[in-house]
Amino acid sequence: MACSFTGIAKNGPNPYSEMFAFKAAMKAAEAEPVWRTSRIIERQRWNPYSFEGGSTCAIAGENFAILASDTRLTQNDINILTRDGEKMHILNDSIVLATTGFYGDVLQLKKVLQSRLHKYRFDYRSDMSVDLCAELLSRNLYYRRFFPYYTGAVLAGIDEHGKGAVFSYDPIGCIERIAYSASGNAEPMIIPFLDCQIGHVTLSDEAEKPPLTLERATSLMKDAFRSAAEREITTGDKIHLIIAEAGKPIVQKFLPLRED
Amino acid sequence: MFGCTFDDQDDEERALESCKQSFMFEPRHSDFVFPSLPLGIDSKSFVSQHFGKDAKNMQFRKGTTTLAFVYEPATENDKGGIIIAVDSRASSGEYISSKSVMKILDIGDRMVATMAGGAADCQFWTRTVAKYCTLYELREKSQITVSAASKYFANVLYGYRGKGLSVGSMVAGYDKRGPQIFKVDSDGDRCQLRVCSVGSGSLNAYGILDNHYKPKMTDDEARKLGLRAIMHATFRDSGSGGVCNLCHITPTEKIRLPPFDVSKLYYEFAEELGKDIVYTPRDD
Repeated sequence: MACSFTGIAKNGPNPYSEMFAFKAAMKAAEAEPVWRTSRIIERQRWNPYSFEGGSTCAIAGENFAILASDTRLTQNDINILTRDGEKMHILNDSIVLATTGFYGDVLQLKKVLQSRLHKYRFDYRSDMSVDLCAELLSRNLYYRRFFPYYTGAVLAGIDEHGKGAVFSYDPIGCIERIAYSASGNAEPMIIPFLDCQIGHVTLSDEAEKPPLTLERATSLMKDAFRSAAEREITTGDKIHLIIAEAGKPIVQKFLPLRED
Repeated sequence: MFGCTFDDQDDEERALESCKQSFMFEPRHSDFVFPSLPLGIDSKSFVSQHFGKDAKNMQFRKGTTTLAFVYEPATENDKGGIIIAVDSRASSGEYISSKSVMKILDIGDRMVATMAGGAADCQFWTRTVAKYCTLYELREKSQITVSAASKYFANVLYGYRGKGLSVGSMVAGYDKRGPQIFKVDSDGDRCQLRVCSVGSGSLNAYGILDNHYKPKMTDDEARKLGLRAIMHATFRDSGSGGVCNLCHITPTEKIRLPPFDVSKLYYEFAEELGKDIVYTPRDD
């Protein structure tokens, strides 16, 4: 049988070759039609994410942690969806989660953490500490390694020793505990400012380096957001300020910001 | 009286036996699977489309120079062992998202892994290896070898081959076979080396290491060599920078040295060489 088949192929043109060529051409046209530009192909690709802009920032002090975010949600960086969308969520008396990125994932992440914290409270009869919650968040972000949350998270709070703690993450849960962190569109504007004012990395040895008090941190935070709102289109409307101080209840404030 | 003690022993042995049967099993694979995309969409290209090089907003943290080498003590006062030196920069795209990352991660009392490539990938899988090693120690009542730990690491990574993980790690430590370094990467590659460097700045680091490395060195010389190689790598590679974290594993202990600022190191080394950094035009 095989012999006769090769015989046909050798002697004359393969009667199926035209059909195969047509089939291949059809497949190629289906996969990448010539009339579709690369822009249209890009648009028709499955894209479950959107980006609602905005920024958040957190600073840790000796006995406090302070977080701020703006409350603007935008579509395609231009169209303002709402002027009071909250990006920060108080998880318990000592943990606050601040997240920018795709707002659907922000809400999902909040829900996942809230339910895990609830379960912890049920199992151990005490609130989870911020260190544990930070590791939990890191792992939950990594579990979605192959379909990541489209979020930049910052977790802050008061740890077991009464010290302020800030943890910063990338979308798949690279975790680091640092003194101050920001995420979102204005991150590249806010961080250099805090590097100068809190990290003192750009100051000379002789320059005055004031200690970081709660008042100073609060005013730095306001400054950071006001200057970001001046130059960044997706940041604006209101500053949502959360202050967590050791041994005191969490305080929330809203301050006006540029609305243009 | 005697019979009683025998009975006691029997009871104890029986208890131990049942304990062994119920707890000392080989570790099973967990049932956990990573949630994946809808059928027909490749996760690697999807992730690189949204979080890769051309992504606008979100990018993973990466970029590194890490190095490690084994040396023998030159004099009796030195300890010898392994020097592990790393930089501390994590960049997402062109933005430096952190300049104080700890890239030497603990696996056990006498073993560390370095972190190059995707930061989250390394952190997560190093944790998995650390857990395996701890369970091994509890089960077998002996310390795991570096070889075994790195093999487990490589096997895990091989299981996720082609899924877009990015890990370049060196597992370094001291065990019953002496000081050892294994390079493991996300393709499933694993090889034992005496002198090793991984990351975007590894070429520069190799340049210094190959030039100045000797099999026998004093502790001070070895630490200086690690610092020098990292400093030169950070000087020429924009993906590396920050501070230099150093870890020295001696036959008896693991010493973590305080971080060194690489931009200060540059001036120190220049001074040592007698190189004049400040250009003073000749007054003719």
